[in-house]
Amino acid sequence: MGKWQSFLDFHKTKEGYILKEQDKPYKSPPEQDINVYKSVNKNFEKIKEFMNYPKSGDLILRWFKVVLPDRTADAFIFYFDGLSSRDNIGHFVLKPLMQMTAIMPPKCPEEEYISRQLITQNDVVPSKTFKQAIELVCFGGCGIFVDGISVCYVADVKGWEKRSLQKPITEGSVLGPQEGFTELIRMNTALIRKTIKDSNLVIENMSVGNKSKTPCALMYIKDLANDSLVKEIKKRLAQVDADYIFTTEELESFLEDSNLKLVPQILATERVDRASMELCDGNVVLMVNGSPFALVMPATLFTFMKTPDSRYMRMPYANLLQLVHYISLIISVLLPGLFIVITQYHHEMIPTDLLYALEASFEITPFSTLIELVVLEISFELLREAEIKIPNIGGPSISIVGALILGQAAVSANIVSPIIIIIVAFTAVGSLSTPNYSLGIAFRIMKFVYIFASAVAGFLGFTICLFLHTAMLCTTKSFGVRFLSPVAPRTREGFFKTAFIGRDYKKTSKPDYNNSKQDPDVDIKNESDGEDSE
Amino acid sequence: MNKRIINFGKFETASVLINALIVKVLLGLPQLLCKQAGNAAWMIALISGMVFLALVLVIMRLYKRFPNRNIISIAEEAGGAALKWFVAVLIILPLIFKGAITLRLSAETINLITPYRIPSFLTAVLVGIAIIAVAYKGTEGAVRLHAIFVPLIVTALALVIIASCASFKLTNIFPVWGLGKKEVIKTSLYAILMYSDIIYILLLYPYVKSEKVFRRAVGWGTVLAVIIQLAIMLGYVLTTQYPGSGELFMPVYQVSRIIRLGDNSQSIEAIFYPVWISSSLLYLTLTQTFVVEILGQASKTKYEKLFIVPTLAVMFVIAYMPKSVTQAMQISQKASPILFICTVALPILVMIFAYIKNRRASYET
Amino acid sequence: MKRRLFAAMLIAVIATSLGGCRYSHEITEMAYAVALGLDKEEDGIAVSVQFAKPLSISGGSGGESSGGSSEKGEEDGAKNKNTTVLTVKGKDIFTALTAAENNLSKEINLSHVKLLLFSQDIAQEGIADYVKQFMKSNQFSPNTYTAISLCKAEEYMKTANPSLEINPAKYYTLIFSNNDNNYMPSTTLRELYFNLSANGEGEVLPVANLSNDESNEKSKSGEDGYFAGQLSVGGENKADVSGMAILSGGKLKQVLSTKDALYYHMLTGKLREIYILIPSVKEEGEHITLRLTQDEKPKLCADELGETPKLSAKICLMGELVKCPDSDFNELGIDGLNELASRYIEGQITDFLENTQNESKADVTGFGEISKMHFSDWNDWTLYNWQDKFINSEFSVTANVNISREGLVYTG
Repeated sequence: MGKWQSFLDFHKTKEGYILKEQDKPYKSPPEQDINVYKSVNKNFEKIKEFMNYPKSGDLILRWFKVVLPDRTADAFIFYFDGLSSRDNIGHFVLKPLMQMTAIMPPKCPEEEYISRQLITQNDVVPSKTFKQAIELVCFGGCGIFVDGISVCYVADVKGWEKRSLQKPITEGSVLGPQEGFTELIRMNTALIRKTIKDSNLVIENMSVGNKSKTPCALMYIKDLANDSLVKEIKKRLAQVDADYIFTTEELESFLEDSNLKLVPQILATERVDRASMELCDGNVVLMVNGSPFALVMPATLFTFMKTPDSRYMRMPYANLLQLVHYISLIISVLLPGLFIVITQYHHEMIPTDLLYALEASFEITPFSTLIELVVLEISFELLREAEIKIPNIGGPSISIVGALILGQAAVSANIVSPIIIIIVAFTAVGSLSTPNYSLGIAFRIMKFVYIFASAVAGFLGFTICLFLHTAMLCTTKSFGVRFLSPVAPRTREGFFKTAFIGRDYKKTSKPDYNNSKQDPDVDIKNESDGEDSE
Repeated sequence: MNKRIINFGKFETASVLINALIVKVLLGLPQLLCKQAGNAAWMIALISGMVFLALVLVIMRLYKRFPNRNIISIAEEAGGAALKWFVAVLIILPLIFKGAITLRLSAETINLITPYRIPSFLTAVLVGIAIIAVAYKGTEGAVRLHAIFVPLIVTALALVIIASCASFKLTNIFPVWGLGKKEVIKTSLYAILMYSDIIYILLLYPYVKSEKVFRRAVGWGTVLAVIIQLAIMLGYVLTTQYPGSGELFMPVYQVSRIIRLGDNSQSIEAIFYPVWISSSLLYLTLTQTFVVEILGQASKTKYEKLFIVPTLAVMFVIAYMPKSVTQAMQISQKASPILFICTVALPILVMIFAYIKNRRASYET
Repeated sequence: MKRRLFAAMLIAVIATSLGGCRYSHEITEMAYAVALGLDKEEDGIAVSVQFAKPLSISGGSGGESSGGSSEKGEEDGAKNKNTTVLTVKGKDIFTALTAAENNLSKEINLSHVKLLLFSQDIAQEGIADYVKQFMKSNQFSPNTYTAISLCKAEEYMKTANPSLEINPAKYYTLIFSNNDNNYMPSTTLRELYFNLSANGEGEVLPVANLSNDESNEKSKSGEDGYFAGQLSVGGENKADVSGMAILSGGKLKQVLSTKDALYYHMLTGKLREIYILIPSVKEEGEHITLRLTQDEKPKLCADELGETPKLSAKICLMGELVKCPDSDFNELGIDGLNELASRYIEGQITDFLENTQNESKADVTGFGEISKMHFSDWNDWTLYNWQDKFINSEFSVTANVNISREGLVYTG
């Protein structure tokens, strides 16, 4: 326990609050993996112990009596207030248990009688261990103990407050459907299920996080997805060793091939149609409860560069759109570097008229071009971050600060030259119109590297940077698929077919890299020079 | 030969071949040919290209007998460790030498065409960093880079030729035979010696997916490379009048300087700098990865990446040994027959030897 | 250990590269020359460099600029506010320029030079070496325009005072690219270099001069052949570019008038729209005005390449009748006018060819390029010695004028 600890811990002393060292040795929580007892009182005591009953105020415990054919038994239910639907518990659990026994003569043993004949809630799990029962109750179930029966019935009466279906926020679309995922996993899987009406769509339930036990759903179309891909994803999911995982973004870092690489290797989308399309291409989609994003695996650069709109628009405009995406990507990463190269090393490239204008504008600013550019780029990053943090309250004032103070005032005070503002603005627009947010960030980081390399050695530095950047992208893999897949391991599709939208009358072919089962070209592919995913 | 996971397709193999042949054209071959054969230099590209194609066909014919093996393992099988080391050394040395000359020429070229000169040392350090970084990624990285950059390079070259179209002067082709038929044939023979890059095909062979893909790739690659060379040569000959054309440094760059965009840019040629630089970088990284790979294969070590820095150091030392660019060029011209023997004739001989031995062995059994 | 090694390497890389930053050059550290002129001095050459003043051109702060030019002396300061001319004497261009940098605060950058001006004295001595030197340097664009100045290059640059442009670079580009001017040729550095290295071919350059107020009595009107300095144009700008200079082997041989330049353009196929005067047949002192454009590319032929090569040229022109006395029109008709114009142009072109052949002994219209086709081998071509043969050659010119339009009013 060093001196730093005392700053972090809070405990009242003369000096103020500091956290005291834990005097008692850490006591592990009681083992929950034990069977349910027959005696309801014993069970009650155990539940109180496991659920920290009087301390956790939202736990509801209710005693009542069940009239069984031959006896009247004590029983109690427990559930979390707010997590479960009170109406459902009243109507479908308590009411039948307390009233219907007289009407329904038993036709089976007591243990089954309760779940089969009495409880009218549609989903009831009879669990033999406390552990399973508690897990289900923590996820909105209602546990029922009846005296003399060593089973805990858990009725699925989930009923918490949730966000309703909303428009996707980060991936807007003009023509496509306007529904995005929500935080609730069942709703999300249902949205997918209703989009792909195929019985071969498999939605496997899993849970991640040793403590959080966050439910996940692994989705793929069984007769389409590559088996080895599904196996690999399951393997990686099983290996996730973390106590708490709540969102897909957290899970992403556990699943991706390399955390050090700048580019994302898994696509996160909040659009239902996008996730469904990717499933139909033979990809695998993973959803985590509590996160409105679905993870699509594997993903290549071209997956990131596509938007749903490019599929909904008519072919000519869709291609223009794709072209704009690529131009914006290139501008966002290369333009500042190129500007530095030209203004620092290659003045002969500038048109003479512009050169005089540039010279006149730089003549009165005090700093070097490099410093001006880097400072303005950083100030733009600050602005963007501020805008995201408080979009509604701070938005307008940030725009004023950004446009007036940083732009107008800096120019009129002769601190920066207007051309630099133009370049930064262009770069920013390029970066914002990059289709994928994570990809945009990855290339934004590279932008600074390009600026630096260009300042050091002009076109030589710029080219070497480009060379190494490409080499980095070439060797990046996403679940065994190369990041630049149809280009760098050149496959039959090639760049143009992947990046742009063809005049197709049928869309049955799947991406080469997936080697999906139903690909009509998969037979001849073995003979072509396509690259197999490993 | 251990089973490799990575394999390259037609496109990648062809682009490796194309870049290996283009890099020379970018670094000054057209000027050299113009000096020796006058304005008939374009014919040399055609003639030597044909001979090169024939040579490639012969080698591929021979290679058919040794599927999925590179020249080192063939040598080992035929003549044991001694022959293996002999062949390995005789291939590595020319590779290092070629790398060194390309390094020197490209570093000096970049220096010479940049208005504000970066010191040679800094250029070398930066290029060295790039080579080491890519070499650590292995052959895969180097070859995949080809697949991305070579189409861009070829597009840029096509743009140069198309944009300089307005300055074409058809009478520049005449007199048709340049400095005479004898000179043309002599220079063509000499130009074939420059094609010692055939060795890259031999080293790439085990990586290629199938024999059929390989044959098609090499065929297409060679044909395309010859077409590109011919286009550049013709472009150069048509834009520059003969006695002057034998004197220009870095011919393709000179052609690109002609391009005029009116008032939109004072001169546009700098935009093509990345093309010259990346072409050389591709060549250098590939050479380096192959040197490392052969060393690793010959010494049968898993830690072949340890060879990267020492071999690169050797390459740098050799590169900066000649006192001037002109001297470096002269040395490379003089050395080209030796390089040709080491990298083309030697593998052919080894393969013939291995083939005869194989046959005798199978005959005896 | 591995991490420390990595950090050390990173620091080393960053340190070396940061050192690299000093090889970059800010735009403001440079003085961009617009034109470069060479004059002859008794002991070497005088290099004059014209710089634009960006602050006064882009209009950022106009007040400062007018004061800035006064230090150059009243004669040029009053004339041109946007540029300044610096003249240095030396034996070599680049050493002289380096010396000039001491006078200027900025480094001289030649990558934006639009015009290379050789004075008459230098041109008579030979410009081949200078051209080679310009080509060798990576600073000059090969597309830089070149010209011969009949006055001192320095004087010309100081006087050139564009009245329509504020940017001198634009002025030089517009005037020397001669997009629609047939009174002078346009030659770039690159063309000059290749022409100089080719044997037996002459070079043509535009002629620049100052229009001389004192020599007004000698001055000619626009229709007569004249070259720069001979025509009096009433305007602010006393600098004038017209006519063409013929060089052979880099040495100035002859200065030809605008009229010759016209026929030079006709022969080389660079003709734009021109107006031409043909003396009237019927009425003394009257003339016929034609607007001519090129109909087909001119066909140059070289036959019987012996001791006296027979060179022929066929020129097809399309015409529009601008002005024609009624008597001529009624007498000759369109066919007659065609015939008249054709014969007239044939005569003029033959005169031009014979003139260049006899005076400057240089083939400027590209007959050599055509003759080259008849040889299979460069050695034969060199042995044939085109330069000697061209002097003895005979010309036959066929012109074919087709007056296809008569304007908006029928003259008949």
